[in-house]
Amino acid sequence: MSEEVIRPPESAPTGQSPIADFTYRTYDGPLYTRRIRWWIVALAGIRLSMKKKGFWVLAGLAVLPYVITVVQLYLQSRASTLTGGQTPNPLNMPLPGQQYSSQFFQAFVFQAFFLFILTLLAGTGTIASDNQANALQVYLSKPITKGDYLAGKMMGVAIVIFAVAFVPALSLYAYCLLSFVNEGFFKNEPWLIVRIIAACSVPALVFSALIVGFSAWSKTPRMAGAIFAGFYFMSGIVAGIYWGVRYRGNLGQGNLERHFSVDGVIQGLVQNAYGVTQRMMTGNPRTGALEQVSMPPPNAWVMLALGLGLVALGLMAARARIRAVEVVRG
Amino acid sequence: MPVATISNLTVKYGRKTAVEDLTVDVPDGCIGLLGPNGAGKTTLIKTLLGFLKPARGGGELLGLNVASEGLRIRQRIGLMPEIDCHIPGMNAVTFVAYAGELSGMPRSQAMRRAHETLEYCGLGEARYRNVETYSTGMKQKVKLAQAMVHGPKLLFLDEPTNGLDPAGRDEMLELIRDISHAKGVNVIVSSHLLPDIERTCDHVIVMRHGRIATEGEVAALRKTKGVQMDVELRFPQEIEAFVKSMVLRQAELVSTSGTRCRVSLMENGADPGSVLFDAARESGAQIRGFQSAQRSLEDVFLEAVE
Repeated sequence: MSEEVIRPPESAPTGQSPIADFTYRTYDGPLYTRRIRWWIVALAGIRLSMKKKGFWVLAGLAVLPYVITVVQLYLQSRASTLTGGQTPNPLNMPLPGQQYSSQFFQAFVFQAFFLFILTLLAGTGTIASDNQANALQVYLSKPITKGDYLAGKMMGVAIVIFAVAFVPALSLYAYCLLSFVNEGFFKNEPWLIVRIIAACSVPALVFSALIVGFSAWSKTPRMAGAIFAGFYFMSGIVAGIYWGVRYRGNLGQGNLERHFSVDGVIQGLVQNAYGVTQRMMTGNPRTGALEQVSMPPPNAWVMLALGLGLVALGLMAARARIRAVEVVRG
Repeated sequence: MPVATISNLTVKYGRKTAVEDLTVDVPDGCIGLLGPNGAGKTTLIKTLLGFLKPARGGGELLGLNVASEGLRIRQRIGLMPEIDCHIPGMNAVTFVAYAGELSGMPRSQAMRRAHETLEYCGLGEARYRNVETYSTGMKQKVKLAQAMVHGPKLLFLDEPTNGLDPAGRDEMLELIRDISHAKGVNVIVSSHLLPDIERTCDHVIVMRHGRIATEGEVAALRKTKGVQMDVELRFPQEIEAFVKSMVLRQAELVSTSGTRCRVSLMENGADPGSVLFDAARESGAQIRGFQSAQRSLEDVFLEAVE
């Protein structure tokens, strides 16, 4: 943990002070030069997020998709009893080896919007508020580097998003473990817990890096939030229109192009993490009939490159903006 | 033992030289850093804190190399920036404790010290209030508290009395004097308010065009050349005759103001008091008081930078 510790001499008192003593005294306790200095910054960010009521509201809303999935899994497990032996809806039938992954993926897709809102809540002020309050002067006059500050700010948001995404997913995993272990839960999908961790890390890293980048270039959290939300929605709209226009005859194609947005990259990476093939209904323009098309995960390497690109973009933008403390004017 | 030793320090921004071949030993105690805009004070402090790499030369701060040990230096010093700055969303205790943690203190110690430091700075009653709601004077104090929570060996105070009313200014200057003279913390005060420096500092460094214009003990710098005396007479009308008598004694008039005048006496070993009383008796003037003349810090500053 510590690189270097400045320790007091043996004789120096380090214990508690008498409460009545209001005089400033020289500090003789230890001072650590931590290797993970960013953790202090991250922890402060997490504490500030958790103090907001909105955080708990969104954390509660983010659990809902998983609650619905629990109900769905329960009903499916009871399907033969409830339908009197009839087969369940074929759309709900997952492909072999994806019974549980597909449920987790569906829950994530619904949860993603709440994670986006949570990013706005927890992330817009990370650096923008510091810019507004000139807090960089405080940070950079302490023994931390620009990199420590940036990593701390990003991880403060990333950990919050990851926790809100991961805790309900872990709860669902625990439910499946207790309920379906005899029905091949482990045997069919042994790496599911690893997939869940990977899937929850994706929005945490992409959202946090981007919001830190936008926040660093703004003087107010509101402005940072507006620009981030604009970028998020516009990229989705543009990618959606491009996909719809180019592949209007066959929406089963253009799976990669469909993901060329912030939301698309996150969903594409999560789909790859879970390794599931989506099914969706589209209208055939010639016959007018509804058709079911399969959407396999988009090319993992392209998605990974885009995801890393977004993370790098956010971090580089933030790094370019953070400057060493201005000590004296004149 | 000097707090900082700087030798042949040259710092450049691209082609522009901000500090040139600067050599100085900064002694311990309370030091005033003076200089007109663009003199290189900012650059010097930035370099001492390890933010800028010297183009040539170097130095040591608290025995640490300024070019390569910036983080360790910043752990041992405290900085009170000029402009308003705080961590948003925190009350004073949380803010100051957080500053302590950033400096490397364990969390429990940082919290304990935050309470003590805020109490010392006069914010004991308001420590649970959000810093955003503080007045200018309180913000100055909380900036000082965050700079000294980890017990730094050296404090950089940048315009510490900025925006303060006379009472607040008085309190702040008292605090600075107490920190540097009673608590044994070395302090470097950068200020444009010369009376503040005069009141708190024992030593000044005046910079001009990236070099040292003058430096030394305040008391020594304020000493006048030769034997100069400030004399207070009973009436202003007495000054003319008194000065005439003094000129006959080979003295020179330096300045007059109201019933006061400053005269420069010849350095011949004669007792200045006797010379003054002789001249007063001869001219019929009544001396109310006299003392060895001292220059103001403003005179020292202007002489150094002109």
